[in-house]
Amino acid sequence: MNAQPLLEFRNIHKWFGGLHALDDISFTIRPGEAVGLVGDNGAGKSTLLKTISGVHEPEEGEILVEDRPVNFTSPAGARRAGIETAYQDLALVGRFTIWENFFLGRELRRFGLLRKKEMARLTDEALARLDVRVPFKNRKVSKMSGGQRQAVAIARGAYWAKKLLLLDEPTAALGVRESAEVLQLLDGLKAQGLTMVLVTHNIDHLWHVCDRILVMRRGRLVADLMKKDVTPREVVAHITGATEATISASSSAEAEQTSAGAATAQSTEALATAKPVQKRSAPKKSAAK
Amino acid sequence: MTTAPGDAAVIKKVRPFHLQALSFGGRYGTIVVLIGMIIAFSIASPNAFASSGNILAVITNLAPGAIVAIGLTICLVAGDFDLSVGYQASIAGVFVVGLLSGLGVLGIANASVDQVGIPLWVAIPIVLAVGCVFGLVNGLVVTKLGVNALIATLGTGTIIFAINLLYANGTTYSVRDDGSFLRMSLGKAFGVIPIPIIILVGFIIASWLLLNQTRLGQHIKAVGDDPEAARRLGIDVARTRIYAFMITGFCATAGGILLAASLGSGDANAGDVYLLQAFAAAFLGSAALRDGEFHIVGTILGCLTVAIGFNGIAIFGAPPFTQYLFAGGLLVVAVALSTLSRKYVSDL
Repeated sequence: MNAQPLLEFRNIHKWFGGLHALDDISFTIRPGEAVGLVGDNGAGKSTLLKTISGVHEPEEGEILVEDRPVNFTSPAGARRAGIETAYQDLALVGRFTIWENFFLGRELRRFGLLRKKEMARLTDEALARLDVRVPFKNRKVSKMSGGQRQAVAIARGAYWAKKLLLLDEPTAALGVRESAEVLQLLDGLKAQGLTMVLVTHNIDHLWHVCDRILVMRRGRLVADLMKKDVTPREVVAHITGATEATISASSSAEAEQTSAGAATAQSTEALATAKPVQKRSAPKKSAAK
Repeated sequence: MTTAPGDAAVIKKVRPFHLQALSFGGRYGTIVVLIGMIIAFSIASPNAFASSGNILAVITNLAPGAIVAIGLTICLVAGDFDLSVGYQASIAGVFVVGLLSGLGVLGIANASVDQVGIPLWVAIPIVLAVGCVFGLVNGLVVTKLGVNALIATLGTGTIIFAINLLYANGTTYSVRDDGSFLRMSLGKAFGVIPIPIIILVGFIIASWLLLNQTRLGQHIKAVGDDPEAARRLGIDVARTRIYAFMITGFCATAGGILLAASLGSGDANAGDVYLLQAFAAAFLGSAALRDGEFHIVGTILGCLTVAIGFNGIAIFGAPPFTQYLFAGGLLVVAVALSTLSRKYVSDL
């Protein structure tokens, strides 16, 4: 944990009209970490992910990659810095084979013509290295199952990600067996030392993959937890802003309606092991109510 | 990641017969129709149809339209439509004949001032460049103004026809040059192969290489299939579509030039029929071999189907209305086959 930080966010802000989508976000990610990014719908985790991947530009604050300030104006910029994204909706071209998808936008050429065999070979090697087994390698991606396609999308991200792979809910659209296969793939990537940020709603998957958990609520980063220090229930409490008592007493939907300010203050006291990022973690608006 | 146990085999087993038939029709329909016509015409008229002279004439005559259809195919692969290809082919013929015959760049209004024709090797590049400009305008209107491609190119096509009338006032001009223009269509390479066939083969090879062996080709296919995925992967979607329109314009005017060479004149409406023929050929082609995808080899098969159909009608002296009946019916059948092909064909 004493290595040079791979990625650092310093006091990042982002607004969408009146909505403070990212409110003073600061964190660092070190090489080899598998970081989970969780939060309820609308908490801002997707916006945060898109800010890392260059889709959104922050309006205030600083982003550093390996201690150098960067300003990604497009996903291409982030990709050049070695940051790849595996999107929830995959971003695969259905009529293309795996290798065509792997190399789309980054085709290898000789004398202006595509080096198809070379690209197919490199793709096969990458799939073998990642232990992704797909029947009929020259099949169109549109003819593959959802799990296979997700594996292809992740493998492509991992192949190009020199520094960081962002995963946007990779298991959200998958069944139980396919999810298990994707988790196995992520285990392999982790074992190979790839740094990952995983956005997920699934606490089981979060627990399976990640060592560290960032919790977002209403645009703020409310907790930065090491998995070994917390229980899943405590993470859920951070997500909803409820106390442990409220969680066990009522459904999480009701819990969210409790005064977020008071609840968070209590929960951070109760959870001695959890390290809240900021003291004033309650949104002012709800505290004023 | 482990394979889903035999999902492929299961799907194959449970496919009912009628789906298999539809899938066969979608993949091989065009080829069956083409071969069926060839066999039928050969049996019915072995002397007129199946002679080497007739076959060579059919291919020579289809060359200009096939070049237009190749251009349209590029546009269709990119997920767009271009309804202006016929008007582009027409104006190209008028324009090239005008340049060769001394109408000049500005056309009939200045004809008396400039009576000296421009040489062929200058006139052709000028007309092809104009075709690229038409494509550029189409592409800009569709991508930057966001106008639906069908409507946009219907509009630009009509404007192109207006320019056509402005240039030559709708008058058909016979070419007046040293004869090199007519040799483009009447000449034979190595004494046997008509030059239009050589030019057509050149366009087939070049367009096939472009679509299948170049980066731009990959990007055109990606943009046509899934523009959002292409954009996410850093491809400039608008620019790729504009390039596709420009290639379409280039091919449409090239086809128009070759048509004018075979007619020996520039007729304001000569290329208009290529719109329907090119669409019929491209859609027939998408129902050949490739599961509803537009592709060059398919388009050429589609062109052959259209041309041999027309040839058969001509040989048997069918009344004129049958030509239109055949052309219109073929377009509908072609699109239906193409749709079937996309819907039902599995790659197993």
